[in-house]
Amino acid sequence: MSITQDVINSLYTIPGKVAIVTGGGSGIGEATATLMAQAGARVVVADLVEAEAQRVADAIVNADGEAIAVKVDISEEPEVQAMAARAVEGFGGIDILVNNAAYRPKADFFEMSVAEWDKMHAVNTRGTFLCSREVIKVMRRQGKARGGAIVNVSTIGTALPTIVNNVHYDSSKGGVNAITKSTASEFAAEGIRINAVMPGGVDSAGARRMRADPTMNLPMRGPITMPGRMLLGVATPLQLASAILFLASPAASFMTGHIMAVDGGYLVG
Amino acid sequence: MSQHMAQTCSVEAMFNLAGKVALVTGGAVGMGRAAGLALAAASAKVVLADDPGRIGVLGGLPPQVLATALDVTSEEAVNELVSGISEREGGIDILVCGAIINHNKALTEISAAEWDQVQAVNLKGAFLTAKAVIPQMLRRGGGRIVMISTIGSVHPVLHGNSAYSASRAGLNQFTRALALDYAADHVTANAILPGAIHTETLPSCFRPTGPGADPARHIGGYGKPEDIAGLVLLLAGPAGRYITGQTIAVDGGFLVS
Repeated sequence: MSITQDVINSLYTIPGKVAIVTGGGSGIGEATATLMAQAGARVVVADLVEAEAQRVADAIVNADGEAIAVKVDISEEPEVQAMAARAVEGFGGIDILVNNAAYRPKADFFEMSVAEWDKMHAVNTRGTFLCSREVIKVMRRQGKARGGAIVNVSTIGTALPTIVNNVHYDSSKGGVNAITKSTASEFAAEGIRINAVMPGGVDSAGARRMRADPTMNLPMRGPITMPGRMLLGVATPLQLASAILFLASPAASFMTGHIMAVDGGYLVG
Repeated sequence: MSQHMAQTCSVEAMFNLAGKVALVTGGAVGMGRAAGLALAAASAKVVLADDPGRIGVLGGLPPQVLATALDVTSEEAVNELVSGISEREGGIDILVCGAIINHNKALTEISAAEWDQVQAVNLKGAFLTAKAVIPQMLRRGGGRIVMISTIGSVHPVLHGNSAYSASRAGLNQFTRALALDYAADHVTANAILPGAIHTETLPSCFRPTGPGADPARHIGGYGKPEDIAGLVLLLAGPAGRYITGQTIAVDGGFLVS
């Protein structure tokens, strides 16, 4: 093995680590689950849509990786507990959690029902809390020497609004940012690092679903839709996955509590 | 999808810098040297530039790493070095600005000349280097600029750092401005904000005071120069192609302590 491979492997691969990726059945989650498997992780592909989770897990296994599929609604406490238990049962522990699953329909500010507001926060904010809590329980049990890493997927909309009809989504992800910093602060002494990425525009399956679904057919309007605002164009899911892998890997061992924009320059555009 | 992913997301390929040419200022010691050696380990050709006194004693470098003397405050010296590298290598792909000076003096103690010197090395040095290097990046179809700033540029850490913090806050905004100006040319610009990273350049008699001097604030412990290497390679390599205009803390959680 060359020095280059050696150094890159020591920094960015995660051999034998157990990684849960929620929303792992499509988009950024699928790219992350696949990349982490390539980097040597044993991956729990968790998704609301079981068939999609299974498809991604099968593809990883077919490429000689290790993965299991788990169906989970991250807003439901017992389902999240079952997901963590399944990871421990299947792979003997948990080292990495990627809180990627999200609910994201647009909604008119005035016409949005309270139920819609609550569902958004139940999935994105409560879901991140529940997954973090159940996984950190396991990580603490495993001890400080083993530690752990959590990467939360937020949105650039928490730093600079992107589109209209998105207030509930940005609010829920603002909560995810706060959870990132609070948990980073609270669990640093136990060797658990917690960071987040803020994607800008991503050409993901979720984004395509959002554009195609007639019930979500509200105008795509707002700063991010202005020509040229995304200086480097729209991201691929893999571009987000590589930043997520970085934050979960030994390369980021001195980073915690950081919320990193992976936005192609939207914040400076 | 899976076959496509398998072909495109090899971890090694995402961080490999074979064929790339890098210039690292402040490259003889501490984080500059750690950044340079990491780039070299990822297969880049690297030029480490630093003060003559520091660069002269640098030994044991890998074959693809060159050490050279440079005063980053001299436009003539910077231009001469950059054109020399470019003639030899056909351009420059990666610039790491790691040159640093800090007098650690209270406002009432620091002289106007010392203030000027801090701004000259920490801010104008990055300006002169980027100004010389970016045209060479454009020849190569793009490039990566990584500034080594400080967590003190966004949150006061130690007493006696007013000149230093101001220079680094300027560096952060200079970085963002470069990110905007050269995005269309495929040049990204980001700054790393290191926290309490122990380097050999700190004199042993240095007894800092201020929030960062309290061990309880370092919830993730103290770092070593190599702790920024992973982020340098991310920002300099294919994996970091979509990240620009960012200031990224590598601070062991200081900002959330």
